[in-house]
Amino acid sequence: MARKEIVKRIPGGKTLKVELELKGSKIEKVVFSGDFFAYPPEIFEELEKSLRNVDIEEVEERIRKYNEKIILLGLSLEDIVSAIRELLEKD
Amino acid sequence: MWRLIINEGNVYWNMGLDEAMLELKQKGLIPNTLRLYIMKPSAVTIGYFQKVVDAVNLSYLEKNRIPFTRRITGGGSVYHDAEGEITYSVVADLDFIPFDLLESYQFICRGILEALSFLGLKAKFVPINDVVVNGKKISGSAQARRGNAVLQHGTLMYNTNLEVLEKALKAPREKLVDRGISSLKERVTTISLELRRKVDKEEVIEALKRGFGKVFDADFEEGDLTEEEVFLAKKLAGKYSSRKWKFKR
Repeated sequence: MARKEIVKRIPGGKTLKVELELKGSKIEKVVFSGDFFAYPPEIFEELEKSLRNVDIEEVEERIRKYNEKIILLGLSLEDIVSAIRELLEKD
Repeated sequence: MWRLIINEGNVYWNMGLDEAMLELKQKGLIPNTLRLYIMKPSAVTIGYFQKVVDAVNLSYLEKNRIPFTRRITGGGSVYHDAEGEITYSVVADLDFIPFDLLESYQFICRGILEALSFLGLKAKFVPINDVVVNGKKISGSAQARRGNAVLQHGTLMYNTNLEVLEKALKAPREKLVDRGISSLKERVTTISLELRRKVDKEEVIEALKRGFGKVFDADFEEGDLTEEEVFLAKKLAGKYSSRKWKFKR
């Protein structure tokens, strides 16, 4: 199992940390943390959980499904998507 | 009709009471309320989505017996100095504030801007949730909504010990680099520092009453907590003091 993490400072916004546990090409667990705001918070937590056991190829699509359900302040779902992309490219 | 509550208590009780008020407001059981309170003893709160290890200096907090807890609201970590900071909370019907989140932050923060103006300081709202004086943060706010109710709570530093703040909180290296500064202390200030005199809490409480009164067009009537608020706050204080809640992330 591989563990990876990245911290991104979103321009004009907040800080996002992504911690990823990978097993092969599947995500075991992902945690997003930082000083951002997410409404409603429980749906944001649901999004985190919904990424468990998901193939990395499908992650972006899964996240974008929450576009209508979550309002974020200080970052966007696309910021999360690009942070994950950057993290996966990191050795 | 707006109720005004002025009180003090430990951080677990205070966070419990804020949540209790949001819950009871949602049920239509309490009036719109402005609460001004002191964290006693001094304490730290962290944002709902923050990781403890990234947000606070745990060993410093333990060594200095500074309690901390996680808020139900997002945002960053805050040092609540019993001798230098007033925390406010606004609990209201959602239709009292603009529905748009950013606009509603700005609307409620105008109460802080007015309070600072009464004290002789020119302050600015900096989105998303900061109030700054001379480019330095003096107040931060965070908002939660449930059903038809809103809770916005925040901090106003009038004489916070910035040495302690600096040691107690951690700012991500990325954040400091981004802002071109090397320490947290350089980006925060207090009313006393800005006015170059020691301001006391009574003065600040008076200014906040006037500031929020003006913005909300409200005549505050100082009131008491209801039995339900006290009961629910006590119950919720247990959650806020639990390791499970604090170390959720």
